[in-house]
Amino acid sequence: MSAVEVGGTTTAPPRVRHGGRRWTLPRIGAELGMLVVAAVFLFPFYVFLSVALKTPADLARSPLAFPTDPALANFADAWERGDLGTAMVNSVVVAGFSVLMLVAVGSLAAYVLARRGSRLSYGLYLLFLLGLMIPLQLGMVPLYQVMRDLNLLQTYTSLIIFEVGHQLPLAVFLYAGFLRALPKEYEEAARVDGAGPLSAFGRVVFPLLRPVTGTVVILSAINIWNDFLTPLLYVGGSPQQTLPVAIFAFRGEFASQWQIIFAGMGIAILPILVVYFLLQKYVIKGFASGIKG
Amino acid sequence: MTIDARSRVRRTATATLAATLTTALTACGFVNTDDSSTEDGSDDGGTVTAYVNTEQNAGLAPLVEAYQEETGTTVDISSANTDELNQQLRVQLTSGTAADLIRVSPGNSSPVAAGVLGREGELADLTDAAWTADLSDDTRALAEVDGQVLAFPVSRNAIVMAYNKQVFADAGLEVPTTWSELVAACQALADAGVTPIAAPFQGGIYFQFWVYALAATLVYPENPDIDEQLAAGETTLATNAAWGEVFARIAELRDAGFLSEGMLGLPPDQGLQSVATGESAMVLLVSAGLPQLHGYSDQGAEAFDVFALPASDDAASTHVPVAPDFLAVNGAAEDPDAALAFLEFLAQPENVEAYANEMGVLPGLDVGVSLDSATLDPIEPLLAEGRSVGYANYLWPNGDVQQTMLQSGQEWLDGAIETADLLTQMDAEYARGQS
Amino acid sequence: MTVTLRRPAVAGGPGPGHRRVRRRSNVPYLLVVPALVFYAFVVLVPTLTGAGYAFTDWAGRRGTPGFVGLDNFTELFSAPAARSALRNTLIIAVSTTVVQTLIGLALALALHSSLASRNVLRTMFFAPALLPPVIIGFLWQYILTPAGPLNDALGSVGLGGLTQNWLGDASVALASVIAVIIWQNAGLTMVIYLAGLQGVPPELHEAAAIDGAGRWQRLRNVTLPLLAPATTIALSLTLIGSLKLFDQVYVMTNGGPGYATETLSVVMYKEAFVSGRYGYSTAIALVLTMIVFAFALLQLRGLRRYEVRQ
Repeated sequence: MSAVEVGGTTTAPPRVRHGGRRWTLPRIGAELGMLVVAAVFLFPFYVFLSVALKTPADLARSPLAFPTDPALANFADAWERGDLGTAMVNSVVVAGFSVLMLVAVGSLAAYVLARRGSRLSYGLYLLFLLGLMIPLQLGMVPLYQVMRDLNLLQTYTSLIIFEVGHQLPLAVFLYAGFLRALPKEYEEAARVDGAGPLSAFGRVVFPLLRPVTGTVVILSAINIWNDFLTPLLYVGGSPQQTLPVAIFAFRGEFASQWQIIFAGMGIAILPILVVYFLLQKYVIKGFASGIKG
Repeated sequence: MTIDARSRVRRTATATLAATLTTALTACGFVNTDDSSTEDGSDDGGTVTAYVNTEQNAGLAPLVEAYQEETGTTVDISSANTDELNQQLRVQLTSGTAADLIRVSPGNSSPVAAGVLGREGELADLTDAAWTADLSDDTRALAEVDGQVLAFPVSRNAIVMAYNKQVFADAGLEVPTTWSELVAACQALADAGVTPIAAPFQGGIYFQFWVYALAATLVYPENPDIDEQLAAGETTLATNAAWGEVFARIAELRDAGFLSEGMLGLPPDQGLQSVATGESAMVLLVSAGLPQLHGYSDQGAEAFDVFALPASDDAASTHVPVAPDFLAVNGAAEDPDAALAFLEFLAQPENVEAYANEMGVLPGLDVGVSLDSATLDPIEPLLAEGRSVGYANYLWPNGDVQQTMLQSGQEWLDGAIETADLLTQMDAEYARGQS
Repeated sequence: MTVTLRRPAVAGGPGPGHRRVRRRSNVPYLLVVPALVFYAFVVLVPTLTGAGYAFTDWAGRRGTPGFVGLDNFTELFSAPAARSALRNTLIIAVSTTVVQTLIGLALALALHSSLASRNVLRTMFFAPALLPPVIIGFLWQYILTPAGPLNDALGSVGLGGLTQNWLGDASVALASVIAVIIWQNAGLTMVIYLAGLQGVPPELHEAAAIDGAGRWQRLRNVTLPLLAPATTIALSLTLIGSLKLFDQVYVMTNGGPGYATETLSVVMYKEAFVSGRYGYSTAIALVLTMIVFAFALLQLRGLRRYEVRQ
């Protein structure tokens, strides 16, 4: 029983054929056109780099000039003074564990909710959905006090538990949405072959969910990576503090060291940008070798 | 890839993951061992925890180091931006997890202000400390609740007008000491093609400095009891002529075109940059913002100077608004004596001086400090003569009056509402805060 | 092929609308328990506990707050500031939901193509979603200042008449905020649609092309119907997110100029952390949740019907 066989077709993915297409004039036009659109779209990032790579005096004098003499010291400063190395490890630990648990727990839950056609499952589905709508502030104080009572403040554990619970509605919503569109025949075939529900899920359904898993991973990872207020509340000032907590410490009430904040943020978004870049290739490969309809 | 190969990969991955998980869990960070925060400090002198704002953290860091060496006490500091600190401190106080030393706002200006927390009984009484004798009058008014001193000023900030010296020199201007001179200077600058006053009023923070600075001269010296009268309902902002005058002054500058064009869309940083580049001549700001302004010029602090904003035609009546940056002792602190001892240390004249010099701010206590930086020299005489008052909003009943001033104030600047409307709205919030 | 693809889309959906589906798979409910435990611990229980404060005059202090019944709600519905915040919230929600979904879909379709640069482009269009609101706010405040790069650019291409005080003029500030949000989040919608497009078999397109369907017809009759689940997700997430919008507004305009961009979330925040009126703030949070839930439910039902029809 293999996902590859399920597709039942041996046609090469059309992308390969198109990829080998000749560089015609309209095609070059389309490529360039999209790149121009993207460049305009990314203009704010130019401003971002301009702040991160200039001294404040340079920035004031010529905010939009290309940073010819880049102030790389901003990056070194942010790295050292913010202890971003430690913060990076903390962020990776928190985001990594949270996302792993989210994917495991969320996909299973969504599998039940999407496959059971009962009133109970629909009710549970709505209950999870409600989590997307509840403002965080409602439960902030009670949850904080429970974490205090469990002696979990200032630990990764409190943050991971929080992030998993907080991002679960998104994961369940995404998984359930795509699961509903996924034909049941594959897993039913597996069940006929004698596989239990869990192994049918693990061997057949989960691999087919690759594109959604990619989406869940990237969306929740970003949310967790950038989360600021709860990490500040739970692990602020401790050795476990995450990147945004460390970086935003350079903000003051009336004066902020923007060049340090932007350099720090440049360092902070790199890992997640790389993850996204790699992940989307993986997701597409998943399509090419997995589902064929 | 066949399913067999895949599941092998997955099994390996699972095993690796499980191994990592076990290692990581046993390493620190996932669970609190009994007393994780003091693992490497010597325990002789105990521990003081502190939750302070970003600025205090920078100023205290060298002193904390010295204190730890001197006494063996561990000072465990966390910090956050004031905005977030105010938000989190409330949650921590409610939950009994707040640090021993906490940063509180002056007067009643936020839910975690000295006055508010003091009346709730959240703060320890500091009245018996020797340093309370060194509190200046404007600071004492904000640190006291019912005759008890509840807060320690680590430093003070003043609202000053910073100007670009080159721009003033090019226009042949002297520092204005009266309102008429200020208006004349603005006219000369405008004629020279310079924006006389940068007005980065987006978000409202910089707008409020104008209200406090003008009120410091126009309202308080004439009537020092105005806050008591407001609280007692004997007068209102809308019916008080001096308060009307404050807004009339701002309107005069606005209507003459002396403030930045599109001021409501101008963020603070761009406003400061425009003064650094000479597009604008001056900007009214808190002294804590001066380092940022200086940073925007190649010549640093040399390029700028400050003066106290005049508001009337009697130069001798000019007052400068001053705000203390407070620390208070949590009433529920485990070891309040350790916290008090640390404040005692901070109150020593050489440490007051060290903090002020580190941060380029005014000393919190009147202990005859000499400042390294000449930045604030122009307002020293005023302070020496006692011509300083707290920011006007500090003794309003809560943060709402100020919030209304910031938001409705933007509508007022835009000409959408009249001065009377604005002040009436603030009065309504004032009354609501009293009830 | 077509048949197998379409049928499950009908049969799989949970909910009362699908009761007629006889064939139920016996996936055990046990599998939902781990998720439910996390969710209950972090969201459900604390929220229910916290919601109780909406009926009190809690000021964030220790001790038991006074019970005030429905006073907070009566005040909320009679406050003009809350009404204008509600209006702004709805304007933001409707406009971002529509525009962001369209842009996200267009991007996904363009980048699901054979463009050689598609991987780089996908990363580029997605990049804004990676920045935290504080940074976004700082960047756009600068770009949108009266003498900022946007107005400069408009002036230099001869569109000087279109220059605005983007965030400082009460009549355009809301639109500017909306544009920034869409800029930031269009990449998220794109990602959802890209995932959805993985489920559209290219063979269908080829078959339709052979049948003589044009580009537009193929999009309308083949791609869009198969993207129905992705559309449901994208629309719902955007709607919910924009109804709850807080950070970007708070950082960029703090609700101003005046009250022009104030949303319910911003009012909620200020009532709690500026005014210390936590009880009242909690009441706003509850009302906001109910508004979002009502909208989301309506939308979901509509979309589900659309999915089923496909």
